[in-house]
Amino acid sequence: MFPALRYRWIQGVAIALLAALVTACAVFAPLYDRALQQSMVRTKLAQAPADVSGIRIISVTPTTTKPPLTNRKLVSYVPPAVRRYLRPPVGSSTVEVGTWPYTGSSPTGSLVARSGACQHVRFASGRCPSARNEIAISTADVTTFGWKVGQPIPVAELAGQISPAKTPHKSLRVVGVYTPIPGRYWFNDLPTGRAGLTDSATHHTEHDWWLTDPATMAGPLAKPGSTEPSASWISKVNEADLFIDRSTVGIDQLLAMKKPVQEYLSAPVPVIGNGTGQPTAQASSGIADLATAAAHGRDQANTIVPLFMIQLALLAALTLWLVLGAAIDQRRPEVALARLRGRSTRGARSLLLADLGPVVAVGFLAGVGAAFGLSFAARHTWLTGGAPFEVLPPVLYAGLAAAAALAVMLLAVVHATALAPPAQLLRRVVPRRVGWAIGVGDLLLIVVAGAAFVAFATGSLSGSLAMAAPTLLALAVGLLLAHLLGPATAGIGRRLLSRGRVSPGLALLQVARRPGTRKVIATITVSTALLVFASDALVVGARNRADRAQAETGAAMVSTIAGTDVAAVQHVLHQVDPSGTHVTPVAQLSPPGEQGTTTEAVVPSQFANIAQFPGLAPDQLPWARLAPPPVPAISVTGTTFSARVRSAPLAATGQGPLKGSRLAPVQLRLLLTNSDAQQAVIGLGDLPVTGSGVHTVTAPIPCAHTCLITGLGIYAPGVHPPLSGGLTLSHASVSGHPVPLGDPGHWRNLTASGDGSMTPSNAREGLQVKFTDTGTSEVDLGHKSVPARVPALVAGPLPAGSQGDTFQAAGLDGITRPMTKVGSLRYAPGSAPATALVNLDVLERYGAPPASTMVLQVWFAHNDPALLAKVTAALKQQGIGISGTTTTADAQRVYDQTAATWGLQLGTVVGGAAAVIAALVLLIAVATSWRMRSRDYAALRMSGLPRRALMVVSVGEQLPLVLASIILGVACGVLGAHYAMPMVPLFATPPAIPILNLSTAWTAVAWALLGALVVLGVVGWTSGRWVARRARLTRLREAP
Amino acid sequence: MTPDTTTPPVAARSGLAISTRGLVHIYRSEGHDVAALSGVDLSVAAGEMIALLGPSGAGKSTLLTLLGGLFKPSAGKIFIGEHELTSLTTNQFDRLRATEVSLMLQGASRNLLPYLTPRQNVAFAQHAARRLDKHADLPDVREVLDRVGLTGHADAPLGSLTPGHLQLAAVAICIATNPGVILADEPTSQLDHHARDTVLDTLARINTGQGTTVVLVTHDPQVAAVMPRTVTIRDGRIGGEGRAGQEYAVVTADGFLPLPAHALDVLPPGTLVRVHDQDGTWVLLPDAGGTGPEPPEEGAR
Repeated sequence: MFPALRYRWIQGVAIALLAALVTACAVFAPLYDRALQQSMVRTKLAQAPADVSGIRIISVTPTTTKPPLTNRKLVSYVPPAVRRYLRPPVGSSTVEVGTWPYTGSSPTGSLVARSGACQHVRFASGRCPSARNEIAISTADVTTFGWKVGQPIPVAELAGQISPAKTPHKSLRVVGVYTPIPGRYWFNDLPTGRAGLTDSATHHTEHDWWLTDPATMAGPLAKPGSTEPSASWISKVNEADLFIDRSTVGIDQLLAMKKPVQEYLSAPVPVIGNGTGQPTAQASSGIADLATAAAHGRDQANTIVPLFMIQLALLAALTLWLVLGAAIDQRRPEVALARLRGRSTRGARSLLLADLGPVVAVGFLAGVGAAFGLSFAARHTWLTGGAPFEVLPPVLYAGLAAAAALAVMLLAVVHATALAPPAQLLRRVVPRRVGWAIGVGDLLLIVVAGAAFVAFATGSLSGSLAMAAPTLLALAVGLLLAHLLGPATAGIGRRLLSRGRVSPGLALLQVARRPGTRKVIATITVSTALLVFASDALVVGARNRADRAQAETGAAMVSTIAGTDVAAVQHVLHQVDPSGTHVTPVAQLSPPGEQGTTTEAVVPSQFANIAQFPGLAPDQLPWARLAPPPVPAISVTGTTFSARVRSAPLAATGQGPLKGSRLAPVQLRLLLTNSDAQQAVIGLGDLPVTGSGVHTVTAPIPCAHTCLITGLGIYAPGVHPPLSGGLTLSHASVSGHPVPLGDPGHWRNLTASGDGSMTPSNAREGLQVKFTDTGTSEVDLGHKSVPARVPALVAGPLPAGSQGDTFQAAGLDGITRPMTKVGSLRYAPGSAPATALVNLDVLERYGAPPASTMVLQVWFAHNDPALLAKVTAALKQQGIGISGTTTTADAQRVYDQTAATWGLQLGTVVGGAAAVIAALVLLIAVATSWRMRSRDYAALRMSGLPRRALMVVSVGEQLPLVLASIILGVACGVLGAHYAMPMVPLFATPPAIPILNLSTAWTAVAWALLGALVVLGVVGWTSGRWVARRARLTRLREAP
Repeated sequence: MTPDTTTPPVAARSGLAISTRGLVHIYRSEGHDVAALSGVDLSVAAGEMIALLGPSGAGKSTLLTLLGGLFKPSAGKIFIGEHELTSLTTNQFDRLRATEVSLMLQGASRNLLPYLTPRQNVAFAQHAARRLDKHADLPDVREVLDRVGLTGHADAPLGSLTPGHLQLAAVAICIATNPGVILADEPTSQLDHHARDTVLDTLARINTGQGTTVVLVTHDPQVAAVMPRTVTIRDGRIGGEGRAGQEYAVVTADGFLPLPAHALDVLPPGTLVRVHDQDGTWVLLPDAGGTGPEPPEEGAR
């Protein structure tokens, strides 16, 4: 056995390698699949905030007389099937307090007793509260409010609608100043970050959490205005925060928790009777969602991993089959000898099995080892979640299946030769058909593989199995080429020979007569196709993850403002970055319904530079169409508006709705939008029924920080008949500064038909307006600096009810207003699929209080923590906080750590292995044929062919084949990827915006091509020369 | 060049007689049926050493492979010892090849496993016989190599051996099981004179020493000249025999008499011949008025 192994050690190594590869693919797939799932779960649990991966149970005080459920009681209701995977709870009790005496400027905030809190803060001064009424305040509170250690702070409880004058009071004493240590302990709810901010609901300045001893939460408390103690706080809230135990929860545990968690969340506390007056509780958790996502990821992994590995295993198995066949062919004379010396067919089989069996067995063991090694490497490199080492039954089954497959393959390939009669075995060349013919097996493979690919390409077959498309195509094409190449090269070779071109002619003739040619072409074609596909999939996946992260995040860094004060944020950003090249404000307003169009209001000139538009060219977008109207806005600064007004007599133009209704004076109004983007309606006085001579109107206006005059209005109060009138407005001024009202063309009637109209015209001394009022609403004349419809670049379809390019979407106040589509976007960065991208400046001119649902963000051009700190500080000076910051890098990290991504990363293994297989096939082809080839070349030498020409023949016999196979494989890989990529899952969940770009990654293809050309080209060229160098004449004497 | 017959028999198995009856073998080549043997009747006595001669394509190698059981004849019977080969099962053939008939293929390397030494090759050749009978009286490997004079090269890689030594190694594995018959196809081809003589001497020693029946095929007239008996195969038939330097025509079982090649010069095909018994001497007289070519001036005797 060993001499035989030594004799053909290259072949032995190749067979062992291929057997190892088959085994490694089989064993590695379930190992990796499992590790991937575990890693995915661990990553999800690590990435998820503590309150999402854990359970928070909150019990509020049901009545003023009954306390909420205790933390211990709350936890006791959590089902044991869930609790076993949770760590001991962190309990806390909270009451909202305001400093006493309670005035509009009293700081308010939470008084919190949270178990173990002092272990999760650092004390800048003082100590941990350890007795009743002791509190620790944050360093920000010290800075903002000037409180210090030892200071008493009297407080009143803030309990909903109950006046603080009637709620319990306490005098708290500051014993420590803390800085929190960020961590999961806080359950995604840091105690600081509020100090100095304004509560949007109460408009009180907030303080950070006051940490206190649990004894503070118990009675007795003082009642205001009396010495009678109160039993307890009125609105105490008890919480139990249960953290998931990440060291014990894996994919199985998470999936097992889903149902009991869902059941528990629906009813966290048993209801007694009708539940009236009982303390109750609410529980929240994202565990069920995490489990659903994990199940989805598991399904993706279960699809991608086997598909990649099966393809590779099949390629390796096919190659092993071919190599074993070649090895057996090579051993035919030895089997013949054994049979001549009396060995039976069984003996012949034993001879072959004893020769090849140990090699395959060693390969199997090496494959098992390699699978475990690869799994170890994967777990410690790209599976960042830190999956545990697990060997589950599927690994054993896969190993057994691999062993069985190898054994069956070996027995099958040995069988025919072992049964062959000695006379047949003694033939030096296995009889083959004369002329062109294709075997049934090859024909079947070509037809099946080709049909399967056509089915994929035409859409008849879909799903993740499409990942096999490149391999199938390459198999069909490679085999076909292999069969066509023989006759073709023979013909060309003969022609070349007849023309006297000996070397290339001989080389081509050799190609035609080598039985291994077909195998080499088919295997290299399939290997290269797999390499190209794997490389392409890898790069396309990475590109799409980056694109999606960029497009969905919107900018390199995005901070969400805790508030909706657009003007203040704009002001701060202008101070921090006057050029607008580093930061820009973005306001998003959700549509009223789920199907509507989101409004994304931006400063176009800044947004175009700062926002990320992967796949789009922001420079090419029609930003100019978002510009405000060309009519200059009437901007005024001051506190008093005055103007001269001349009015014509009012005239009734019809019957009033009520009998006897008479004309009454109408009010002239001025419409303004102030610097806070809020609209103001200023009454300028009445226009008498009889008309007036010239008189001056004066009115205070809230425009100390600049306003825009957006319109004039006429309002006829009460019930009145339809009327008409006219006025001339001139000498307008604000705080003494003249205000040009412009020509009549700068104004337009805004009133809906049926309610009246205002028609401007030119007058010598000013703006003349004729008006009618036929309804009960105000009749308005708008300035054209505020467009009638907001121009918008629209991503996605227009909302329902749109007419032509006109549609409705939310303004800054959340109320829909008409917009007009002036261009299309494939998507709007950082927003929903259906988005109207509008000019923030234009939207602000409408003037309206910002909607509470508005999401106001600051977008950063770069992931620049220093700039973020600067912006945060500047915003804080204005009482504006940042509720959260995300970055494109964070978003991409999330996408990079999904089952789909890790599945695709197998492409590196598959691509590398495919290249190795291709090189191996080439080497094996040389190893199994070099003796015969060198004898052939020796004969050619004897016939007078010079050594140099022999080199050409030897290299030319294989290098063109290799090159042709590589080119073909690359073509098949590219074409196969074109059809396969749309069906390959790139993400755990598909992107909502149309960001996917599945076009071929030509750079990856080029690198794969180059790699294949270099590796296989060098192997082909070197081995060809090596064989030619062995063409010594002594080979002709048939010595062993 | 005289075979050395002085080596005494060592653990000899007695040679086996060989005979064929009306042996016909037809094979297909490029769509045509070709009769390689057309009724060969051959008898080889146990312990005899003969050479099969004849031009290329005459059928001598075919005859040898039929005797070795590599093919079944199209017609006719083959007897080796007590075995009639055409009726043997595969297992019986295996047993026959393991113990009684040894076939040496043309080209020494085809008889040897290239990665084994001569010693290992001999052991390999004995493997089947030992499996069949654990108590088989097989010669020691060293003894086998000693018989062919390769003791000094027992553990040498085959690649380091000369062609002559390689052929001797091939002989060694043929005699490794003390067969009753050795069938050797061109055992001296591609050898220089010295090597050729050594191989022939060795075969002759085995033949005389152990009584092993040896049938060899050769093209080489010098080899034929030293063989005790030669059988010439011509056009698939036995065309003549040589014994002790004398050439004989052999009357076949159906009465045909193939003329020796030199007689065909004077009696070309188609010549009408009268056969006369003249005082106990059988004379062939060409018929001068026959339809055949003109007879030579002098009759052939």
